[in-house]
Amino acid sequence: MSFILRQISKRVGAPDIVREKPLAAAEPVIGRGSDCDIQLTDLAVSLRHAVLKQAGPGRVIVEALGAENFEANGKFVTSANLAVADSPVLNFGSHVLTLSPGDNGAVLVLATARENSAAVFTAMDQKRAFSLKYALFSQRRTAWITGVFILLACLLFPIGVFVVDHDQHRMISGVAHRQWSSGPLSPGHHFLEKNCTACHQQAFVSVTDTACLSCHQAGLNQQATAHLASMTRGLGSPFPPDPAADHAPHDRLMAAAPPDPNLARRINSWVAATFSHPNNRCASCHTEHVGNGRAAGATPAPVTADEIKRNDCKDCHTGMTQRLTGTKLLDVPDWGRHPDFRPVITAGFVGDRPKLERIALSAVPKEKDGLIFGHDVHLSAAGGVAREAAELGNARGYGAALTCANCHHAAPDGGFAPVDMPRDCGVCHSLVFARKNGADQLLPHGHPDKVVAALRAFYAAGPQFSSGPDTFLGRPGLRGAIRPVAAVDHVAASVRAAFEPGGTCTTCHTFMKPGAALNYVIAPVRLTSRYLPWGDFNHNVPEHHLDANGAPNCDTCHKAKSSAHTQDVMLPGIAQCGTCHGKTKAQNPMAAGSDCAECHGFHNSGLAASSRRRELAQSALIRTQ
Amino acid sequence: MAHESFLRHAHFRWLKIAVLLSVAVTAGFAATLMSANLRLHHTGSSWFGYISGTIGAGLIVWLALLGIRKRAMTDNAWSLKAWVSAHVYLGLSLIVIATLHSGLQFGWNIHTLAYALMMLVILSGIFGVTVYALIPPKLSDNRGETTQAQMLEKIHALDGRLLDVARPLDQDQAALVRRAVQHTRIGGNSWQRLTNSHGNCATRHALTELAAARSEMSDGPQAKALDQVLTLLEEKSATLGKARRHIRLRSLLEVWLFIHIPATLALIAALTAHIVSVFFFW
Repeated sequence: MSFILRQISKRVGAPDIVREKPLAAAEPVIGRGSDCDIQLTDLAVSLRHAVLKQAGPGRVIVEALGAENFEANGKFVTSANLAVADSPVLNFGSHVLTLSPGDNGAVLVLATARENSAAVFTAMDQKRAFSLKYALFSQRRTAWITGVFILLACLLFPIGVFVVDHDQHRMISGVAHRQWSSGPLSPGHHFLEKNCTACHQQAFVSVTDTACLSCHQAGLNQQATAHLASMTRGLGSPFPPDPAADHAPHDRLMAAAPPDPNLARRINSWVAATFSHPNNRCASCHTEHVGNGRAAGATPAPVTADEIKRNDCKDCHTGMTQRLTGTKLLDVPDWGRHPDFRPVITAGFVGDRPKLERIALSAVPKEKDGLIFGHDVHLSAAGGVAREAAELGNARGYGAALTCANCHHAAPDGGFAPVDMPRDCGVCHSLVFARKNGADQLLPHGHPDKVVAALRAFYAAGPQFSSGPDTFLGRPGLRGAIRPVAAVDHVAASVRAAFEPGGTCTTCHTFMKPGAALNYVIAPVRLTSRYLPWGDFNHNVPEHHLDANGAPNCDTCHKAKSSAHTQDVMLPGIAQCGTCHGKTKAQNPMAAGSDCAECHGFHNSGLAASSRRRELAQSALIRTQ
Repeated sequence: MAHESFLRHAHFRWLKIAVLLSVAVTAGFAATLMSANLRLHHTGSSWFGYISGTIGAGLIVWLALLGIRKRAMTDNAWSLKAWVSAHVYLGLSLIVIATLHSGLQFGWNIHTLAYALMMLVILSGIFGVTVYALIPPKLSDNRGETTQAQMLEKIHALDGRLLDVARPLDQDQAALVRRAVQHTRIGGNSWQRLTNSHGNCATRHALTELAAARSEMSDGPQAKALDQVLTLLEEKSATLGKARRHIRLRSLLEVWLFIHIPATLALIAALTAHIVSVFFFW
């Protein structure tokens, strides 16, 4: 049994072409491939789709060669056993194969193609059908649109605003530049969040010290300070700027600093400086745009840990005397080799102006402050002062021998309020010179002229001494029996009683003899309020003024009980500090730190970094330069 | 030469290089962190920051150049396969480099936008590499030897046969068949392509409706025609199923590029803005 192929090609407007040939192969292959015995030109047909096999007399088996099935008698199958006598119909794509018995027991395969299958699917059709590209957006267009949008919105817009608008319209600038901010500003600078150009004044140049100092300049006069305060208020700051004194003039600071021993950091500094980003600026230490910005208030820009490390005090203050010509500062290689205290004392007067000198404690400095005073007499447990204090009694805040606190009142800044003569001395050293209408009349404490003026005013009113409550005491400061006295020139007598040797005021003050009349001249007085203005010491720290039992122990540091004259500078040596500072807990239960920052700040060495006593920084500090 | 995946190219040469690079950058970061007392502040403006930033930016530009490089096929040490291998592994190392460069300081700003876009590009790339490893076998399993053109031709041929065979059917049934022929969409929209969900397929609808009609019909000439229609519809439905699985797999192979490519250009724009802004206000 063999197969005969009769292929019919249909043509439009012409007779069909019929070709007939016997197939040589015993098992002819049906497919699109040119090697197939029955070639069907249709893409829906596989290259080698199926094979025809004879299966006994009058029967043919059709088997799919690949995964693709075929249609046999209306069913889609991969294998079919067919009786040729039934004229089975096979469908392969648009081709129809009909089997029928032929001559000499052969099988006639009639192949026709259906007309309506002329469609040709191009590569484009396939892409449209199978690729996501035609169902989704265009990659290229989307890429360009988003890229150009980001460039415009995030780069050109902010640059344009900077060039054109500068800081005229803070809202626009804020919107334009905020997207460039790498993080929130410190709470103290929060009000500048939308005002980038306040600090970033030039493109591609790092924030300069000039920008910082435009608000934080220290040492300004009152008018300039007020102007700055109003300017920062105008910028939206809820508080006036904190003046930041320079540790030293910038060039001196640079001269004092030794070369960085770390080579990488040195290269870093050089590179940074070359690219307009030097690391000796305010902003090098006070980094902004970091943190979460949740804190509130006037917290200053934080100083990074590595900057503190880089700016270790001892790096500069070791061997600085060799590097920094003409410095008066002594080297401080470490806490153990901190030089002796050199208090600033009143060394005398030039006219009325005090002459200040800085003298080491080891040189036993002597003050010439213009006052006659002995601490020993006042603190003696047995003398007349003690008896008088006992007389005054508890009700007036005395009752026993005087203590330091009777005259020296602690101030919240860690120091002491200035001694106020009428309050702190006047209870004993009375300034009462008369009583009028039942009220004590006090001499004003201060300038001699004011004393004279007060006495003149009193007597001008014509007081009656002979009767009634208006009474002259004879001499100010004299307590005891009141006796009426008749005097010719009450004013002159009273002034002399105050200023002449043995007079009321001469207990503590020295007077020059007047040329004429009553214009006495008092020797100037200056009581030192702060001996160590470059170091910070807080008397209010409990360990600094109380002993283990909680009792005041001023005399641990200040040997007042044995000081007969105010010329004694009753300061302890630094060794006294060293009994606690720099010790371990094992050595001293009250051990404390020995960092430079315990007593010194960077911008203001007299204000410890740990101290929050800003008032002290604002107050006029004595500098001997 | 036996086939070797770009992932295994040259005994993982680029994987090793990428790991070395990541380790070196991590060491630099650790050194920076130690010298800053473990406090992160402006990591980008440190030595480490400038170096890692330069490496990162250079890598991003080079990685993006694959889009141009891929159009030229060569076969040497710098073959396209080597290039793709390097692209994948160096791209992955960017996760380490850029994250350490950022010092994990994020915010609503251009800097974080650049980082986010970079991560988007890398994650879509990881998706791409994954589907390239997983999908092709499934694709050929599903397709067998059938070509895409063959699928289309077969559906078209079945449509032709359906119109022939449906002639004896009544009006409503013929309308269902005509709808199945004219309104069946093979792919559909992107969501249908990706999920292979074709709930409203006209062919399936006709199949269900006509099968129901056939079950209520006694044998006869019309029933015979309907049987033939049903056979053809079933075959068309099966062919559609195969084609649609094919489309879904192909779509998965392609979809990540719709993120990868646009995000890359957006990243280059954001990166430019990041670099310029940092030095503009520094």
